[in-house]
Amino acid sequence: MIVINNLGKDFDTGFSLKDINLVIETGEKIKIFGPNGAGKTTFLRILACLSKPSRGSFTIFGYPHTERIEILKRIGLTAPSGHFYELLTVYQNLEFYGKMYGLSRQELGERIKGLLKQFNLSEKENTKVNQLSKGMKQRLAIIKALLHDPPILLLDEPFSGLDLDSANSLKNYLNSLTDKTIITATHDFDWEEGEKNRIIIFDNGAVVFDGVWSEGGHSFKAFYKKVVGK
Amino acid sequence: MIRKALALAYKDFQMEAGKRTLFTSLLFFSFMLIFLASFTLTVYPEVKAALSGLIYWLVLISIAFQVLNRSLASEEDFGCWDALCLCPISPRVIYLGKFIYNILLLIIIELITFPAFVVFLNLKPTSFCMLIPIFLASVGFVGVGLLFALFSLKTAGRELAIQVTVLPILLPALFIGLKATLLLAAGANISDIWKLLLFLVLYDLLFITIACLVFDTTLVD
Repeated sequence: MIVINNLGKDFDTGFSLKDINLVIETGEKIKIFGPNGAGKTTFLRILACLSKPSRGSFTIFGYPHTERIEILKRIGLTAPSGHFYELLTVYQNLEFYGKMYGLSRQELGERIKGLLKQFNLSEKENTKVNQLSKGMKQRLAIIKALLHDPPILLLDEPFSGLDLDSANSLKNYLNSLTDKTIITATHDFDWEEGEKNRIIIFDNGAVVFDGVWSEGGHSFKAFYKKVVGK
Repeated sequence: MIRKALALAYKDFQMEAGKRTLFTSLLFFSFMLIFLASFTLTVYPEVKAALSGLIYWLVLISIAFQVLNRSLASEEDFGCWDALCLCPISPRVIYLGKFIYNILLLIIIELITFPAFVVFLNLKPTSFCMLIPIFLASVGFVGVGLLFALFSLKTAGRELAIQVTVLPILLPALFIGLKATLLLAAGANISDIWKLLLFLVLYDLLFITIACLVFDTTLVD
């Protein structure tokens, strides 16, 4: 469970994340929408303890945001940059991060093999990351986030660079993780008909919509444009 | 903590083994400086005793700064600094891991280049005693330098920023280490310079302890 109270962050550029108040239950699947620069990535970075809030606080499973190590054990984050050492192989990268998460050698080996198979990257185990396509790197980023089996996944633009089949496969996989809280930030309108997940829309650093959207005869894109005014 | 720090250092060696750009450029630069110095000292042999110690210190300072410049920047350049900060580890693990990698890299380069320095400058075999103050100073260099590398990580012109900010802190170790090396080059024994070596040991202990306590990755936002 994530509880966020009056969370804010100011930047020298003048942009600020404005007093976010949210409660996210365990197992919820949330999509965060918003235009570029709306504050989605900043929000995820604060939740992942990569950026300190200027004001307010949050707790994750009861741990306050100052308990960085306890929070990080429970979070997996993917970022568009990928976070990989390009000159190391896929296995070397995952092995390094696994060790940083304190996984034992045997546990790590089994977990890496299993996840590589799950994401169709088994053949690339000994390939250097700089030889992977963007879509493969994207899948590898998801594997890295899942390596320590965290209960919370923070996914920043997870479908960018993926072809339709890979994106659908990833969506199906993420939907199968029923016990995990998944917060996905995107600026694509990848809304599926009949989807009943909670959505949060950011605009200019503030939450402008938080709830479950129902179609009501309008497309999600039209609804989104109405909310953000663009 | 040690296991994770070693894993971090091992990863850095794996990366360096993959490209070898830093290692080879440091070796090339060191050999070039030693070769040019040996050529100069054959023309002016009367200053050899006085300058030989200084020459290796110039090599040491140059390679130490290059190592420090790359120490944390390599993570930032690959976009992996965030990933490292996402790991549930104490910032001290990062400090210790980076310290182990950088000091080993520096010592390996010193062990390769110092025999060449002795041969090219036609020094006595006892000159190898000079490695003691050089190693001690190297430990201090890396220990303190890593902290300043962290502070400079997100600044523009970070390489210059590291050198300018860290130099005043390093000066005592530089002066004492240089003095110890010059005395050894002039024929002194280790027993004659034990006070200087003790100063270097205390300097290392003090500043590494401070750097380890102050090194906080959450300061970089």
